[in-house]
Amino acid sequence: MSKALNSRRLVKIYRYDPSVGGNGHFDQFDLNIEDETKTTILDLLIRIQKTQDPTLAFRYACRVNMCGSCGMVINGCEALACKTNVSDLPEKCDITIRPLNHFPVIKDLVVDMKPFFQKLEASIPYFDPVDESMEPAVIRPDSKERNLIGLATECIQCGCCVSSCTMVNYHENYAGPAALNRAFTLLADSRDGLYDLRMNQVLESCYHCRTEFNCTEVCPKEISPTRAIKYIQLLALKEPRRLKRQNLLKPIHEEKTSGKESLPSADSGCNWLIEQHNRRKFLKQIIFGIGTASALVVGGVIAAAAIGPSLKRIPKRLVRLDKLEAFPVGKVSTIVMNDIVPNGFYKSEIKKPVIVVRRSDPDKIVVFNTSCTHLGCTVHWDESKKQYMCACHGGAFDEEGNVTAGPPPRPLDRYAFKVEDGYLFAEVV
Amino acid sequence: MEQSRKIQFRGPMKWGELDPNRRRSTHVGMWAWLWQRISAVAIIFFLGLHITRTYIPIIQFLLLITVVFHAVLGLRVILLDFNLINIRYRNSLLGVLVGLGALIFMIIWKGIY
Amino acid sequence: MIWETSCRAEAFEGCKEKFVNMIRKVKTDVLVIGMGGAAEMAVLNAYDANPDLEILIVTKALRGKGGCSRMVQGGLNVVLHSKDSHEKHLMDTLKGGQYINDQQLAMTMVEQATPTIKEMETKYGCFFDRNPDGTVHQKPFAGQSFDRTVHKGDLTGIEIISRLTEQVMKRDISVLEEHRAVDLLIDTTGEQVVGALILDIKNGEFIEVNAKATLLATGGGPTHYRFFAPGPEKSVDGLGMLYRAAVVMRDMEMVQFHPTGLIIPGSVVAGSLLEEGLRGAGAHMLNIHGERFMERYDPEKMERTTRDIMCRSSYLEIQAGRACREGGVHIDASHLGAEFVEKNFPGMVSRCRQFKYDLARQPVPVSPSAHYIMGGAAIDVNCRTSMERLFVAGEDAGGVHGANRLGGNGICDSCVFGRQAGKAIAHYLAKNDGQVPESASGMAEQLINRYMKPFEIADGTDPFELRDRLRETNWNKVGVARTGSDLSEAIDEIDSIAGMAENARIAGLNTYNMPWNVWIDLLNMIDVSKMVAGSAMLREETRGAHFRLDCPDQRDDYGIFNIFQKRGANGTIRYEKKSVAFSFRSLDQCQKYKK
Repeated sequence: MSKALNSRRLVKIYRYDPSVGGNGHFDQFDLNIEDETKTTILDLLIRIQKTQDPTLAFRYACRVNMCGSCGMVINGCEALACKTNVSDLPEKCDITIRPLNHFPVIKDLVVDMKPFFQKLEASIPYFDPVDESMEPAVIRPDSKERNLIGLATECIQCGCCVSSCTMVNYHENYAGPAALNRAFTLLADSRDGLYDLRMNQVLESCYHCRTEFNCTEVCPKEISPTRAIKYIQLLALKEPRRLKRQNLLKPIHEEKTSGKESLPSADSGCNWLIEQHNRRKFLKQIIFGIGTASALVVGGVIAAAAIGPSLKRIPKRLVRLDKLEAFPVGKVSTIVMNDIVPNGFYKSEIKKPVIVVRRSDPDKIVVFNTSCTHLGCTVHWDESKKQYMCACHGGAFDEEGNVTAGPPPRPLDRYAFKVEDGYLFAEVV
Repeated sequence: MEQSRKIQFRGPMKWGELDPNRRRSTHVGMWAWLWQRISAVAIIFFLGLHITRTYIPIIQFLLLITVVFHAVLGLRVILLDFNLINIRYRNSLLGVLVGLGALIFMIIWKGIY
Repeated sequence: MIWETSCRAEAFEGCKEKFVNMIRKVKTDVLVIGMGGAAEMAVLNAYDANPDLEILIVTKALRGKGGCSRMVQGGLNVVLHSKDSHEKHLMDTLKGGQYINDQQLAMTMVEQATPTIKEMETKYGCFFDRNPDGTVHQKPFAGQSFDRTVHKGDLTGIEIISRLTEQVMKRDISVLEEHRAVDLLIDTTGEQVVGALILDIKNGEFIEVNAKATLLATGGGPTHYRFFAPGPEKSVDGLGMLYRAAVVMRDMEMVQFHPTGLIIPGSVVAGSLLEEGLRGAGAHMLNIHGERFMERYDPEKMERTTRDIMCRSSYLEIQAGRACREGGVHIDASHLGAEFVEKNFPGMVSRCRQFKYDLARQPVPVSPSAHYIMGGAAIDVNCRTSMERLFVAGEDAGGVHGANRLGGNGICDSCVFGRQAGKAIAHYLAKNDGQVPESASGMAEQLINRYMKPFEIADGTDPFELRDRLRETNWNKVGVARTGSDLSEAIDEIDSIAGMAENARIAGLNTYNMPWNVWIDLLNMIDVSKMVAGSAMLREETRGAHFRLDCPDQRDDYGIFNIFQKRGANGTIRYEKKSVAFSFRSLDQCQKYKK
């Protein structure tokens, strides 16, 4: 405990001045904290504003984790400033405070939550009774639906989940965790009558979730939007026919013509929007380019792997059979060829019989491959019939290897050969 | 008449932008997702190598390990998608699955060599 | 809705270069200020009665995030059970209010609460906790003869406000977020409220909104004390605006304190409440010596006594120098058993745990905490006030709760009278359809000049410091225990703070300038402090939340009256005592009622 008393902390706060513009920067404030266990991040901000820099802007309202106004990124994690005590952070480390991601920054730590509410509105977050009954429905607290919904209705719409999600930025149609969580609580509610409409509105959105659980990790109310999203996906599997994919996430009301349009935030804040739009377009082109390039590379690798071996020139090997004298002139001799094949990281030994025919003419040597050209059984020399016979399907070849009977499609294969130093070599491919 | 002073909002911050603590915001589930994508790319790469250079043990080793890793991460998503595992155990689930993957890998590798 | 921008350069001579010199004007049918329970119920009911109405909501916070309704923990009192009756609920309310309630308002509240809560369930989608058999659960709450508090765990407010805010989204209703009303606009006759001057907090521009009907429902929130329970962004704005618009107000001396506000030295969270149920369950209140000091003040009921007696006992104990180190007293629930406390008060245990207090095992420092203002604009059952076209609902209105409010009647009041106001506004506009009235010429410009003034002062006072001073003055002299001499000193001090506030200096520009907003808050707090202190001077007796050390007895024989007040033309307040009209139940019936 004593360590938490009278400590000094360096607080780095993101600053952005809307009348200056630019990218913003971090300001550092050095603070003495009397008791870290009794000091929230919100207290730090209020203290800095009172004593060091009155122009610091942040947003808060209830200060007891009920309104969800003070969501910000504290040391890399989304959290409510009023729910995070300094003692919850690692000892002695600097404190870095940034505004939430994915929302336009109005000033310093204050973001424009308009995109959040727009997405929420588009996912039909409101109840519409299924019947006209005026009496509260009788639903047991241990019923399946209430167990399923649980405390998921207690979302305070702080935007932490949206900020922590890495997908909202990439999919314009993605409603985001909070909106889908609300849709889930209504889809599961038997009192609600907008099931089909809501399902059509949000389902596509659910498939943008990548099951990262960032939203679940940061939720200050310990709600799991991921669970909600998975539930909606499962619902869709159960009743696929009820769903027609419609024009998704289209606002339900047309914006009121004059009123809303001329709200100051709409015109004064849209420069970044155009900028972002252009940037997004550019990014898309780049990503498309990279995608095409990588597809080509990957395709190339696969194609090379498939076709490559047959195109490659494989060196011929000479396999020594035996001394020339071992093959009597005018006879057909069978010998087992001992071929050592280098294959990857090891060498395989292939033992294969070959037939060597030596005629009286010394130049007349023929080396036959004993594999039948039909299905590769081994043929043998039948002296009495003067034919090579295949035992498998009755193929027969004459002395020159030509087919005389049976199914073989072509004459016996011959090896090229060489005589060197009195030895006979077969050329093996 | 002098025009009113314009104020300008800043575009939204990207995830991790200007965030010196970016790594802290990468939670377990995000690593799981990220590593599954990375292993997918690795599989394509090693598969290509494997086909061209069939019996090189180091390539076999890497291919097997990425395939197994990719598969257990896919299994994680399936288990969570179909609500077969309570999401409360999402982080320990990853550990268990990776352990299981390591076991499978060892059995296969032992079986080959 | 018609928006127009007109240039009125002459109004801004002083700060032409530095600031925006445009003023935007909007005309609408209904202007609703605030976005808590009362405002949202009103909007929904007005819209459903006539969807053609153009309704504009302005809220100081983000949509649905301001207001005290969201912070309701306990629940909402309503008669649903066949064994309960409106009669019993009414008598509980009158007994709690020490008979000075406006009985017509109290009657309306208890009777209309039943259909209101049913609408909230069936039309708006709230889901309150259920009994095991599936019917709506009702829990016991202090001061009630029947278990009638409907709730959703210990976070009832979130359920109510989230669902109502969604219903507002469903309907075609414009909402201006982070726009605060700074003052009501009056027409040339001085008898009609014709809208309000709105400040856009984000960019510091003013908007002049003219409306055929204006509903003020900002919620009160006595944040002008050292310890307070409402969120710090609440600042009695509505009451301040009503005062400046010279609307007739009543019962302003009645400020309720809650006996167990958490003390967290140096933190803005200080003052947030620990549930009353803790005392009900038998928790002890101890002073620095570890004594159960209630033996001195109420030996019969000890800690189970009423809110007001508990508050004043703690306060007197603190004043007598027997305060604990943190400056309050201790609440000790450890003898109840850690398991019991953790099971029954999980929200409170976790709130304490955030600050490393172990409620289940150790004493926790608490203090009385300013909680609710019973007073406000004098209204009728349709929320109409002394000014034409102005409606007030919720905590800004007075009379329903008399001298003290029962737990669970606050959100009930907001929802019921919000609903009443919505219906009444639709009805009123159906009868009085005409042109949108214009505000008195030059009024908006004059106000803007006043509110822009602190930017021009080079060397002035700090609004934060002034606010702290005001809080201390109110706490010590207009707080839990009051005396005539303290009150007259307080009035002088408040006047001197008001003088210094005129000289406040604000640094920076007007875009999202928080100190500037604190200064505007401060102006409202000053006006309300004046009303509270002045009114408290005149009630020389102890009644409900109003405790006079110099007149410690409740004097029913001395006359049962309400104090009405109205700001006069020259800035002085005119007070008037009026006897209570016992229109439904006589004083005798009230006195004899035992629950």
